[in-house]
Amino acid sequence: MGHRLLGQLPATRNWTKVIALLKATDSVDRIANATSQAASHGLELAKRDKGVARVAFALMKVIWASRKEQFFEELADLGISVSAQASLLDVVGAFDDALDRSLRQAGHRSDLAEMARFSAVDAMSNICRSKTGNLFGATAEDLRNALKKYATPQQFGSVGQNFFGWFLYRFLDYHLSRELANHIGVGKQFTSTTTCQDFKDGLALHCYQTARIVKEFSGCWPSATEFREGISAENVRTKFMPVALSKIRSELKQREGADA
Amino acid sequence: MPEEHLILCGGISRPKSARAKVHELQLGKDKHKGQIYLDIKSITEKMVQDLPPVLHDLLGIATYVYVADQVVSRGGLIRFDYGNTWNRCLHFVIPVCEHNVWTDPEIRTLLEETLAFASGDTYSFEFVYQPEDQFPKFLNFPSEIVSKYKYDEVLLFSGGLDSFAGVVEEVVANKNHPILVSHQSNNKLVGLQRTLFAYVIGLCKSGLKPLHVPVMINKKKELTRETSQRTRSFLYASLGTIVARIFGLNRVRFYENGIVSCNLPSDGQTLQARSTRSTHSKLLHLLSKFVSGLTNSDFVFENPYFSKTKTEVCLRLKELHHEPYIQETRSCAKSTYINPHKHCGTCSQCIDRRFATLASECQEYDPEWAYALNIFRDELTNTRDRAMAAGFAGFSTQIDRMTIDDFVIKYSSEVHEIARYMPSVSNEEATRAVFGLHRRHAQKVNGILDAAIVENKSSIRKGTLPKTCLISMVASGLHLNARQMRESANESKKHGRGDLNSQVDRLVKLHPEWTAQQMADEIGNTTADAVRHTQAWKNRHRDP
Repeated sequence: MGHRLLGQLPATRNWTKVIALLKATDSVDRIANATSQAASHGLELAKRDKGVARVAFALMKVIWASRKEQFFEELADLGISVSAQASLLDVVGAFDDALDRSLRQAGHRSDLAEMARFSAVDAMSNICRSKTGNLFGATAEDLRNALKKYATPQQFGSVGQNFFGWFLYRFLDYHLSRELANHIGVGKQFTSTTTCQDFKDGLALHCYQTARIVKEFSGCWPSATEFREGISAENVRTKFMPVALSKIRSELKQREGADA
Repeated sequence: MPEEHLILCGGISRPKSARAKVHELQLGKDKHKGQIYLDIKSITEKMVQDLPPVLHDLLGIATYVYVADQVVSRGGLIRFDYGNTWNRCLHFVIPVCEHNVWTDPEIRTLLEETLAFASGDTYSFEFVYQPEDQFPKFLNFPSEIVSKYKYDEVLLFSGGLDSFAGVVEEVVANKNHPILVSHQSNNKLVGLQRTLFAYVIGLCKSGLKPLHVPVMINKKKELTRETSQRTRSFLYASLGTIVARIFGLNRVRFYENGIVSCNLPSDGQTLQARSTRSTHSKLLHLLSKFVSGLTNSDFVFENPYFSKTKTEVCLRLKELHHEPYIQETRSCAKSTYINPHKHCGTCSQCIDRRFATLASECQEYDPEWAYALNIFRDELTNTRDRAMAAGFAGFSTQIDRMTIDDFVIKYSSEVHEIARYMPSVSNEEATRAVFGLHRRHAQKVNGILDAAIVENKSSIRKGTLPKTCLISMVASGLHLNARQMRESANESKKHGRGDLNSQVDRLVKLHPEWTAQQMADEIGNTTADAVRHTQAWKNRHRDP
């Protein structure tokens, strides 16, 4: 029982290095890279996780649907049932519901798939706000107009950057949050919970910036693949995710070098 | 791929070629054969016999699910397996009388969906017909008979602060005659619930007294390998349904404050079943839909305290003049604490309770000595305790700094999941309500933290507080001198946005091939001025 169950980092060599690094520095570049190295097995699993691919595929489909005349019918085909009178939040909520349903129907759900689901909804909310200026009071039509602007190869890259930026942040925080509290307090790396939160904000920004590396790839891949063979959850899993996550992994490494 | 667990129930034989790991469970009254049975007080066998067989089936299914939940380990909280073991795949084969009802795709899907949401596991069911007369007896009833009085509410009563406040609310404010259904998972809870119930009885000077229906599940100790018990709420809800139907009622109430019901993550590690969803709006919606379908009625599960913070629950008790009994309630997740400590002080429930009783000025009835550890001033030696305390405080600080849009973006999926299932309000109104609830909670928590800092200012200045107590974790930065603070701010700025020039320097080093537009794009400032500036800085950087 317990409302909230928290874990501890395993006592392996790689995680011990991360702990030592947290004692020595608050450099987000170095900590992010060391964490991704220690959690490299997780990143490898994410590359071929069916749930993660399903989510990324659904996000692509929703954005491309906004170009179609029959936007709401297209959404319904994707399991997102909303009327034209719905609010923006209704559509984003229905999108979240559709992802949840799709993951449940696919069987076992990994934590990685759940992180991807959260990241897709984060990205959707974020890009909508950047175009509509406000999440409240906006309609489904406003959302459609906002999404339409992203439905070009060049602009879709921003959606990809958003999605991977959030995913990377959630992935690193999933691991680091088991340890950060040990480094808060007198004589520790973070003088208070607020400075620790500032570090996390810096980490989120770092992840977003790191995901810049997949912007062009995310933008071009769907249209090129659609033209060549058609996009499916399967080729998102076998071709899109492995490349994108490998790029992110090497970018994290490169950024650490740049900071040194 | 995760391992599949096959749960064979009620003596169903093992298939010849089962690839999954097999677990056999049996309901019945023979303790020596390792059978599982329920002790139900206050309800007679005759009363249950009048119930439709589908509800007998429901109780059997809920019991099997609850026991299997404890039999199959989630693999602990240290190894990273990304949910492969933690989120289990459980396939049940269960005998039922109402085979047609349970094999209805809609009912089965709802059952699987409800359990999956409550526990984060993947459930599948196979139902086998078994005639009613062949069913094992697994319910122990008392011999005395309780007549069918006009009770008007069924409440789930754990003995915690919120559920106790709910009972007082029903009896004193609503003048109702409730039935309190309790699951007694250990003997300590028996005494606690008995004391609280005696108090509630004392509140009713005349007329019909509330009825307490405690239920205890008896099983072998070896059947407990996992203690997270995320399907407990399903068992609890099923017991509530049965009691409600015995008395002709169509509603069951869970009283739980909104913050715990939403249970937004304070950090990235509490994914899926690592946070409880026992009174989440979606779970209550799914339970209502499932039981309505099963009983062919408009059955509803609701949480009247969803819009309240725990502080507001305490204030409500105060308003009703029953706050002295807070000291008899118990919120702690760990049941091992003995007198004088009733609470561990470090689990999420204890922390929430401590802040709430302080914020509502009920500390007289929730004394410091009742907690084994005072998180404000005692050293938190355990990593999890530190993470819990820092997470609780950090969450409130963060919420306090957020606009409603920031809140929706930060917790987008979680907030949509809550708002979509809040009854009778639009998504936007529900989202505003959830944000308002969290803002009020954060303000109270921050107020208590501020007061604690002021109260301990001398110890903070002298540096005499333990390094890992909550006050040190929240306030140790305050003793830094102004110069250190400035340096620290600059340092975090460097890791955050930084200034444009240093960002460009860094990007030129990283990606010399990028254009100024690409760099400005990454930095997040794509105004024409910024692009020009980036280009100029980039050129300068390249010049020898």
